[in-house]
Amino acid sequence: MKTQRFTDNSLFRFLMVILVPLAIILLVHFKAGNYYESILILFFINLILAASLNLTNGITGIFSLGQAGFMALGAYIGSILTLSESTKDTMVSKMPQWLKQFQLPFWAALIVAACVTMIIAGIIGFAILRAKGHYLAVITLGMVIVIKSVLDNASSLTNGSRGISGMTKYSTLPVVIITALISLFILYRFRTSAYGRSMIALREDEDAAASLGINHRTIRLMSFMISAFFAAVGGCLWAHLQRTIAPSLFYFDETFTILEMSVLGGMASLSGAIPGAAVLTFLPQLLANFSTGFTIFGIHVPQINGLTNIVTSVLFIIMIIFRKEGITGSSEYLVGTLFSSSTYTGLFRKQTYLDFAHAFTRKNRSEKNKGEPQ
Amino acid sequence: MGFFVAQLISAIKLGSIYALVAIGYSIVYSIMGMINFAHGELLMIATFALWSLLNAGLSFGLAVILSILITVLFGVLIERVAYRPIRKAGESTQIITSLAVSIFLEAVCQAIFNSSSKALIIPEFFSRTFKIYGATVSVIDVVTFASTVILTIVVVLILQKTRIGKAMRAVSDNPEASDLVGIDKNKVITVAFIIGSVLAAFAGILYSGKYTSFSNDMGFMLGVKAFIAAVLGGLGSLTGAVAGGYIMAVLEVFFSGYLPQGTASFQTTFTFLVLILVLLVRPNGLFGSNNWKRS
Amino acid sequence: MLKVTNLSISYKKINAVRNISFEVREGEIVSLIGSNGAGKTSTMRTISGLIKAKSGSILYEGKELIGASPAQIVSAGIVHVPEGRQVFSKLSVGENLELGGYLTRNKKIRQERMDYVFDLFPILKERIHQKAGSLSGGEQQMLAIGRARVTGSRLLLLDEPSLGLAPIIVEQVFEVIQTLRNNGMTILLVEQNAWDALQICDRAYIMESGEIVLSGTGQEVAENEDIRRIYLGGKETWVSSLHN
Repeated sequence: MKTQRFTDNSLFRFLMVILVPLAIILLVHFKAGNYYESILILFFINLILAASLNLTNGITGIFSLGQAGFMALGAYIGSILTLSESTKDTMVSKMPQWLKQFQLPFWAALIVAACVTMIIAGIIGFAILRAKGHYLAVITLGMVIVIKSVLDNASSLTNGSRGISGMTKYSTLPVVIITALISLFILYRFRTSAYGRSMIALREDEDAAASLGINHRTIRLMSFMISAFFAAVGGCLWAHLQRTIAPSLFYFDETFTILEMSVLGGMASLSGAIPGAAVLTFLPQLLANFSTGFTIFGIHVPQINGLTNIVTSVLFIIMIIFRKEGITGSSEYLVGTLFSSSTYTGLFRKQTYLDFAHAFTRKNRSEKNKGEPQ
Repeated sequence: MGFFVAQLISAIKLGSIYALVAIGYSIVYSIMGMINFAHGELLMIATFALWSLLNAGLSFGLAVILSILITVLFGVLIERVAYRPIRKAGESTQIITSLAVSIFLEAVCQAIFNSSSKALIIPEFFSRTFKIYGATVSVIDVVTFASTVILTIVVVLILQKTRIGKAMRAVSDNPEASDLVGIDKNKVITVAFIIGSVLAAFAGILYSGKYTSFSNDMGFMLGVKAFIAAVLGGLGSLTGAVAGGYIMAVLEVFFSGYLPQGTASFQTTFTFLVLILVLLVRPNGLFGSNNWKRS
Repeated sequence: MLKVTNLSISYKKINAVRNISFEVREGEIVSLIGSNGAGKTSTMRTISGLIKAKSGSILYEGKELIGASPAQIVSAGIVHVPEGRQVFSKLSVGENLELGGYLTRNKKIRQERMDYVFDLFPILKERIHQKAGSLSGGEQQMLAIGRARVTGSRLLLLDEPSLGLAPIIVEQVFEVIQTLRNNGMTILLVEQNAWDALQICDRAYIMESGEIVLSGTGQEVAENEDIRRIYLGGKETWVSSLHN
């Protein structure tokens, strides 16, 4: 008989990757308060951001630290496009009149923001992508500095370092879930396409890839631009969740948070973005309860400033030492399950259920054996 | 005239700080082939050590010496604990690790000292001022420039004349051949970190001494700028690191001083644009022959 | 002097060398001969500590070298001149030689050895302040051998010293190897240029796909029919005419 791993069973995959999360989401949506719902919204936004970084850093092997900059562009462009004329008039009075009057529905603004950011990324990438490794890391970090500096100073568009606020909260749970699913789907299709395979070839061996006729400059630029597109999507959603943005929110801290999500989860796969975003979204909320000091085993621990940063950076270092490839490694189990038709068609086959039941009975039997003395 | 001299002087003192930090990056890069993103945090460590020691009532001279030693200790410790295990790992692992160290140190510093900005009280002597061509110069500005010149000369002498300095150049030139003549790489790397840490400690103290207020995030930005200065000059070149540091500072200061009203605040943007343009024309930097020698 | 027993080496998950044993006695020139990828260079790199052995033992004057660092192996008295003349190209000729004496802290001894090298290669003395990278290929090979001599080691591992050099220079290099031996150095020589190597060596081992397939004195190996056919084949005619 062909042996099948239990985790490959369609029913199991369906239950664990789709049904259980769906149940949790519905539960949070209908039962829990606003606070929990906004954490969940944040999780889906982070998911998009982490997945966008995985595309460049893990899959193509372009190590970029510029995601926060593209996120900022997405947030600003999106917000300026959705805000009403009167809001813009009071907040950024020096803004050109045509731009003040220009207002788009949320979905259109989201797409325009992402596309404009992608074009900007194309221009930047054209200039900087010949750099590699450490050089590129620093240059993209420099790019974040430049973007912040521009946002800080172009006050006739951005209201300077005070930022802009008053956006409508368009980023509701259904909106971010749909956007995250579409984003993951596009990224996943891209990864499994011929282009995606060339990206992986490029990461593994540049010379060999070049000899196969893969134009590495085009591929690198394309990956950089697509990554920027989704970073902007994440940024735009984020702006319409927080409803207030400022240049300083898209700086080194945000850069590191996205990088941490990406590395912890597993850079080499899109699936890695899921556990990565989960840890880095929920852990800080959990730690916030302790940051004012707590008592453990009768010992009172005083207030620790920046507890979240310490815990996450220690977690980060431990991960690099013991599991460099992150939680998922290069396995696309999670995203693959979500988007492969076999998960769904498998549900209509009797064999799936038999295997599933069989696995349980076998498991029970082996547990029973363990319990009995020999 | 007075305005120009004043601009020049502030470019020189800022450039001195960048140069000191850039040399540290450059030395470590040419020996290990990695960028130590946590290098900037050494400036923070030196400054906070000095501040704490002065608060504890130590004399200024003693506190400076001790804080340099503490910085060196941290520099060597970082290499031992975090970088040695990943020396042969890929570039992205190295970038991630050094970023993690950087975040960790900053977070711990924040936990101990909180994130409010602090003032460093330096002896009154250093803040005395005098006039050159109508521009005001304080003693610490002169000390900053002089220290940079002296330290750079000392580093050059170490690299050119001493046994360990020659070994450092040998490792950066040809790692395998240096193994084969019996050079202990661990020792060479440790010395590179000691030199880098001493320079960073001076840079940190001089910087905070000059601008008097500092906080736990002072190091990273300075580090990134100094690193870009090192790349501009040509990583691995000592001349390049120093020249890159001063060029970076001149661009920053003069852009903010001379750009027309309304665009002056874009100085950072313009500085980086110039740097990217330079790197497009000369990807190895201005002095990028990967050579320690001044040729 | 050097005794290698049952040495196996894996390199990038491929078994580069399988279970080889050989020996180098004091004062000998021993050649390891074989085609590209036979495992000669891996063997040399393992002896000098650059790569790790999978199993087996390498005894040098009775001491186990497996697990020792390159620096420990140099101070034990073995020096390796790798393939491709690896000099410190941005350092001067003088500094290159000085670094050969990195582990010799006694300046006088180091200077004596450097003088010996300058006697052997007067050209290096002329170019003492020049950067090593500006030397010709032959001069760089001399510098690499000279630098190895300054370490004061008694066993020299020479990997492909004739690679990429003009025939006239190759001849000089082989003369130098003999001179070094006459002055008390023991030499383990890896060569693809089998004919020349067999002419000057005392004993030779033939390696093929990671195994030693034949051994004997240089003369015996050179006269072996198979070896003549495989390794000396076409070359014999022009190389021997060069020598006669």
